[in-house]
Amino acid sequence: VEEYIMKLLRQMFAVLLLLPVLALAHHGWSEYQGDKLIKLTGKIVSTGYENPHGTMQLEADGKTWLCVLAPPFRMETRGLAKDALKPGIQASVEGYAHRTKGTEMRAERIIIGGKTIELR
Amino acid sequence: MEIFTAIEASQLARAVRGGVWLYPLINTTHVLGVALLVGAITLVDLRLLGLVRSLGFSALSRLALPVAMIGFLLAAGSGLLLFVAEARELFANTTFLWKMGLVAVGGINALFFHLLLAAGSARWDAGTPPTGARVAGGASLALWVSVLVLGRMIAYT
Repeated sequence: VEEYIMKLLRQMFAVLLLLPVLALAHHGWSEYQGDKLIKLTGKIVSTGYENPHGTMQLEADGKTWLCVLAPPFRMETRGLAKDALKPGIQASVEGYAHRTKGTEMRAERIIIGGKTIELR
Repeated sequence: MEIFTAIEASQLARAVRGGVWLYPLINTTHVLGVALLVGAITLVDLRLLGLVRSLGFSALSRLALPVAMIGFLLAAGSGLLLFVAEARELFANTTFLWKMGLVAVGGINALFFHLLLAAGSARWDAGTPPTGARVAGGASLALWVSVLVLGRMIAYT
Protein backbone atom coordinates (compact mmCIF):
# COMPACT_ATOMS: atom_id res chain seq x y z
CA VAL A 1 0.00 0.00 0.00
CA GLU A 2 2.78 2.41 0.94
CA GLU A 3 4.52 1.74 -2.35
CA TYR A 4 1.29 2.39 -4.25
CA ILE A 5 0.75 5.70 -2.43
CA MET A 6 4.34 6.78 -3.10
CA LYS A 7 3.80 6.04 -6.80
CA LEU A 8 0.58 8.05 -6.77
CA LEU A 9 2.34 10.95 -5.06
CA ARG A 10 5.14 10.89 -7.62
CA GLN A 11 2.56 11.12 -10.40
CA MET A 12 0.76 13.97 -8.66
CA PHE A 13 4.08 15.76 -8.26
CA ALA A 14 4.82 15.37 -11.99
CA VAL A 15 1.45 16.94 -12.82
CA LEU A 16 2.17 19.79 -10.42
CA LEU A 17 5.47 20.46 -12.18
CA LEU A 18 3.61 20.74 -15.48
CA LEU A 19 1.03 23.21 -14.19
CA PRO A 20 3.13 26.38 -14.59
CA VAL A 21 3.50 25.53 -18.29
CA LEU A 22 -0.27 25.21 -18.62
CA ALA A 23 -0.69 28.43 -16.67
CA LEU A 24 1.67 30.27 -19.04
CA ALA A 25 -0.34 29.08 -22.02
CA HIS A 26 -3.42 30.51 -20.32
CA HIS A 27 -1.85 33.80 -19.28
CA GLY A 28 -4.34 36.67 -19.33
CA TRP A 29 -1.83 38.64 -21.38
CA SER A 30 -2.59 36.35 -24.33
CA GLU A 31 -5.75 38.39 -24.86
CA TYR A 32 -3.45 41.01 -26.37
CA GLN A 33 -1.84 40.81 -29.81
CA GLY A 34 1.72 40.28 -28.59
CA ASP A 35 3.21 40.07 -32.07
CA LYS A 36 2.10 43.51 -33.22
CA LEU A 37 3.57 46.49 -31.39
CA ILE A 38 1.50 49.67 -31.69
CA LYS A 39 2.33 53.20 -30.60
CA LEU A 40 -0.18 55.78 -29.46
CA THR A 41 0.44 59.45 -28.71
CA GLY A 42 -2.08 61.78 -27.17
CA LYS A 43 -3.49 63.49 -24.13
CA ILE A 44 -4.23 61.69 -20.86
CA VAL A 45 -7.95 61.89 -20.08
CA SER A 46 -8.02 60.06 -16.75
CA THR A 47 -5.72 57.89 -14.67
CA GLY A 48 -6.04 55.09 -12.12
CA TYR A 49 -2.85 54.73 -10.10
CA GLU A 50 -4.25 51.50 -8.69
CA ASN A 51 -3.61 47.82 -7.94
CA PRO A 52 -3.31 45.24 -9.33
CA HIS A 53 -2.58 47.25 -12.51
CA GLY A 54 -2.52 50.97 -13.08
CA THR A 55 -4.61 52.30 -15.97
CA MET A 56 -5.09 55.48 -17.93
CA GLN A 57 -7.39 56.70 -20.65
CA LEU A 58 -5.55 58.27 -23.55
CA GLU A 59 -7.07 60.34 -26.34
CA ALA A 60 -5.27 59.22 -29.50
CA ASP A 61 -6.28 58.54 -33.13
CA GLY A 62 -9.59 60.25 -32.43
CA LYS A 63 -10.43 57.49 -29.93
CA THR A 64 -10.24 57.16 -26.18
CA TRP A 65 -7.97 54.20 -25.41
CA LEU A 66 -7.85 52.32 -22.14
CA CYS A 67 -4.15 51.65 -21.50
CA VAL A 68 -3.27 48.97 -18.94
CA LEU A 69 -0.09 49.99 -17.13
CA ALA A 70 1.91 48.34 -14.30
CA PRO A 71 1.33 47.99 -10.53
CA PRO A 72 1.88 51.31 -8.66
CA PHE A 73 4.81 49.84 -6.70
CA ARG A 74 6.70 49.09 -9.93
CA MET A 75 5.81 52.39 -11.61
CA GLU A 76 6.99 54.33 -8.58
CA THR A 77 10.24 52.33 -8.38
CA ARG A 78 10.93 52.98 -12.07
CA GLY A 79 10.40 56.71 -11.74
CA LEU A 80 6.75 57.22 -12.68
CA ALA A 81 5.26 58.72 -9.53
CA LYS A 82 1.53 59.22 -9.08
CA ASP A 83 1.69 62.98 -9.70
CA ALA A 84 3.62 62.48 -12.97
CA LEU A 85 0.59 60.70 -14.41
CA LYS A 86 -2.12 63.33 -14.55
CA PRO A 87 -5.02 64.17 -16.88
CA GLY A 88 -4.15 66.81 -19.48
CA ILE A 89 -0.53 65.66 -19.84
CA GLN A 90 0.82 64.54 -23.22
CA ALA A 91 2.03 60.92 -23.30
CA SER A 92 2.99 58.11 -25.67
CA VAL A 93 2.59 54.39 -25.07
CA GLU A 94 3.98 51.38 -26.90
CA GLY A 95 2.24 48.08 -26.47
CA TYR A 96 -0.24 45.54 -27.72
CA ALA A 97 -3.88 46.02 -28.66
CA HIS A 98 -6.58 43.82 -27.14
CA ARG A 99 -7.84 41.12 -29.52
CA THR A 100 -11.53 41.83 -28.96
CA LYS A 101 -11.86 45.11 -27.06
CA GLY A 102 -11.14 47.60 -29.82
CA THR A 103 -9.85 50.49 -27.71
CA GLU A 104 -7.93 48.63 -25.02
CA MET A 105 -4.19 48.09 -25.03
CA ARG A 106 -1.54 46.78 -22.67
CA ALA A 107 1.37 49.20 -22.52
CA GLU A 108 4.91 47.83 -22.52
CA ARG A 109 6.39 51.28 -21.97
CA ILE A 110 5.25 54.83 -21.53
CA ILE A 111 7.02 57.97 -22.73
CA ILE A 112 6.11 60.95 -20.62
CA GLY A 113 7.92 64.30 -20.25
CA GLY A 114 10.74 63.01 -22.48
CA LYS A 115 11.32 60.05 -20.15
CA THR A 116 10.75 56.41 -21.16
CA ILE A 117 9.54 54.08 -18.41
CA GLU A 118 9.52 50.34 -19.02
CA LEU A 119 6.41 48.74 -17.54
CA ARG A 120 7.24 45.02 -17.88
CA MET B 1 -24.37 43.24 -9.31
CA GLU B 2 -24.96 46.40 -7.37
CA ILE B 3 -23.62 45.13 -4.07
CA PHE B 4 -20.20 44.39 -5.59
CA THR B 5 -20.10 47.84 -7.17
CA ALA B 6 -20.77 49.29 -3.71
CA ILE B 7 -18.05 47.10 -2.15
CA GLU B 8 -15.56 48.24 -4.78
CA ALA B 9 -16.44 51.88 -4.20
CA SER B 10 -15.96 51.62 -0.43
CA GLN B 11 -13.23 53.46 1.46
CA LEU B 12 -11.56 50.13 2.31
CA ALA B 13 -11.49 48.95 -1.31
CA ARG B 14 -10.00 52.25 -2.46
CA ALA B 15 -7.34 52.06 0.24
CA VAL B 16 -6.33 48.54 -0.87
CA ARG B 17 -6.21 49.49 -4.58
CA GLY B 18 -4.51 52.83 -4.02
CA GLY B 19 -1.72 51.81 -1.65
CA VAL B 20 1.72 51.45 -3.17
CA TRP B 21 2.93 49.24 -0.28
CA LEU B 22 -0.34 47.91 1.07
CA TYR B 23 -1.39 45.75 -1.87
CA PRO B 24 1.92 43.83 -2.23
CA LEU B 25 1.90 43.39 1.58
CA ILE B 26 -1.61 41.87 1.49
CA ASN B 27 -0.61 39.71 -1.47
CA THR B 28 2.45 38.41 0.37
CA THR B 29 0.38 37.68 3.49
CA HIS B 30 -1.99 35.67 1.30
CA VAL B 31 0.87 33.57 -0.08
CA LEU B 32 2.26 33.01 3.45
CA GLY B 33 -1.18 31.93 4.67
CA VAL B 34 -1.66 29.48 1.79
CA ALA B 35 1.88 28.10 2.26
CA LEU B 36 1.28 27.44 5.99
CA LEU B 37 -2.17 25.95 5.38
CA VAL B 38 -1.30 23.65 2.49
CA GLY B 39 2.12 22.73 3.93
CA ALA B 40 0.82 21.80 7.36
CA ILE B 41 -2.37 20.08 6.22
CA THR B 42 -0.39 17.99 3.70
CA LEU B 43 1.57 16.42 6.58
CA VAL B 44 -1.65 15.47 8.39
CA ASP B 45 -3.23 14.18 5.16
CA LEU B 46 -0.22 12.00 4.29
CA ARG B 47 -0.30 10.51 7.79
CA LEU B 48 -4.03 9.82 7.34
CA LEU B 49 -3.28 8.11 4.03
CA GLY B 50 -1.07 5.74 6.01
CA LEU B 51 2.43 7.10 5.58
CA VAL B 52 4.97 7.04 8.44
CA ARG B 53 2.74 5.19 10.89
CA SER B 54 5.45 5.42 13.58
CA LEU B 55 4.63 9.12 13.84
CA GLY B 56 1.79 9.41 16.36
CA PHE B 57 -1.28 11.03 14.81
CA SER B 58 -2.18 13.05 17.91
CA ALA B 59 1.38 14.38 18.33
CA LEU B 60 1.56 15.40 14.66
CA SER B 61 -1.89 17.01 14.85
CA ARG B 62 -0.99 19.08 17.92
CA LEU B 63 1.71 20.83 15.92
CA ALA B 64 0.37 20.77 12.35
CA LEU B 65 -3.31 21.63 12.89
CA PRO B 66 -2.76 24.97 14.70
CA VAL B 67 -0.24 25.94 11.99
CA ALA B 68 -2.79 25.04 9.30
CA MET B 69 -5.49 27.03 11.13
CA ILE B 70 -3.25 30.10 11.45
CA GLY B 71 -2.45 29.75 7.74
CA PHE B 72 -6.15 29.56 6.91
CA LEU B 73 -6.94 32.67 8.96
CA LEU B 74 -4.10 34.65 7.35
CA ALA B 75 -5.22 33.56 3.87
CA ALA B 76 -8.90 34.27 4.57
CA GLY B 77 -8.26 37.71 6.06
CA SER B 78 -5.92 38.87 3.31
CA GLY B 79 -8.12 37.19 0.71
CA LEU B 80 -11.13 39.17 1.86
CA LEU B 81 -9.18 42.42 1.36
CA LEU B 82 -8.05 41.31 -2.11
CA PHE B 83 -11.67 40.44 -2.96
CA VAL B 84 -13.02 43.78 -1.76
CA ALA B 85 -10.56 45.63 -4.04
CA GLU B 86 -11.84 43.85 -7.17
CA ALA B 87 -15.23 42.49 -6.13
CA ARG B 88 -17.02 42.87 -9.47
CA GLU B 89 -14.32 41.30 -11.60
CA LEU B 90 -13.74 38.41 -9.17
CA PHE B 91 -17.42 37.60 -8.83
CA ALA B 92 -17.55 37.31 -12.63
CA ASN B 93 -14.44 35.08 -12.70
CA THR B 94 -15.32 31.37 -13.02
CA THR B 95 -11.95 30.25 -11.63
CA PHE B 96 -12.51 32.36 -8.52
CA LEU B 97 -16.00 30.90 -8.01
CA TRP B 98 -14.67 27.34 -8.37
CA LYS B 99 -11.92 28.13 -5.91
CA MET B 100 -14.34 29.45 -3.29
CA GLY B 101 -16.58 26.41 -3.85
CA LEU B 102 -13.65 24.08 -3.17
CA VAL B 103 -12.68 26.08 -0.05
CA ALA B 104 -16.21 25.41 1.24
CA VAL B 105 -15.96 21.69 0.41
CA GLY B 106 -12.52 21.56 2.08
CA GLY B 107 -13.98 23.16 5.19
CA ILE B 108 -16.91 20.73 5.28
CA ASN B 109 -14.50 17.80 4.80
CA ALA B 110 -12.38 19.01 7.74
CA LEU B 111 -15.47 19.54 9.89
CA PHE B 112 -16.79 16.07 8.96
CA PHE B 113 -13.43 14.52 9.89
CA HIS B 114 -13.11 16.27 13.22
CA LEU B 115 -16.72 15.70 14.29
CA LEU B 116 -17.12 12.10 13.19
CA LEU B 117 -13.73 10.45 12.74
CA ALA B 118 -11.13 12.19 14.89
CA ALA B 119 -12.80 11.11 18.16
CA GLY B 120 -11.69 7.53 17.64
CA SER B 121 -8.18 8.43 16.54
CA ALA B 122 -6.67 7.20 19.84
CA ARG B 123 -7.27 3.65 18.59
CA TRP B 124 -5.07 4.11 15.53
CA ASP B 125 -2.73 6.75 16.91
CA ALA B 126 0.29 4.56 16.09
CA GLY B 127 -1.31 2.56 13.31
CA THR B 128 -3.25 2.63 10.06
CA PRO B 129 -6.29 4.95 10.04
CA PRO B 130 -9.67 3.43 9.10
CA THR B 131 -10.98 3.81 5.55
CA GLY B 132 -13.13 6.85 6.38
CA ALA B 133 -10.18 8.75 7.79
CA ARG B 134 -8.02 7.81 4.80
CA VAL B 135 -10.67 9.04 2.38
CA ALA B 136 -10.99 12.31 4.32
CA GLY B 137 -7.20 12.73 4.25
CA GLY B 138 -6.94 12.04 0.51
CA ALA B 139 -9.85 14.38 -0.21
CA SER B 140 -8.29 17.09 1.94
CA LEU B 141 -4.96 16.84 0.10
CA ALA B 142 -6.62 16.98 -3.33
CA LEU B 143 -8.95 19.82 -2.32
CA TRP B 144 -6.39 22.17 -0.77
CA VAL B 145 -3.85 21.67 -3.55
CA SER B 146 -6.64 22.37 -6.07
CA VAL B 147 -7.58 25.51 -4.15
CA LEU B 148 -3.96 26.68 -4.38
CA VAL B 149 -3.76 25.97 -8.13
CA LEU B 150 -7.10 27.64 -8.88
CA GLY B 151 -6.12 30.64 -6.76
CA ARG B 152 -2.94 31.14 -8.76
CA MET B 153 -4.92 30.71 -12.00
CA ILE B 154 -7.34 33.57 -11.24
CA ALA B 155 -4.78 36.08 -12.55
CA TYR B 156 -4.55 34.19 -15.84
CA THR B 157 -8.21 33.51 -16.65
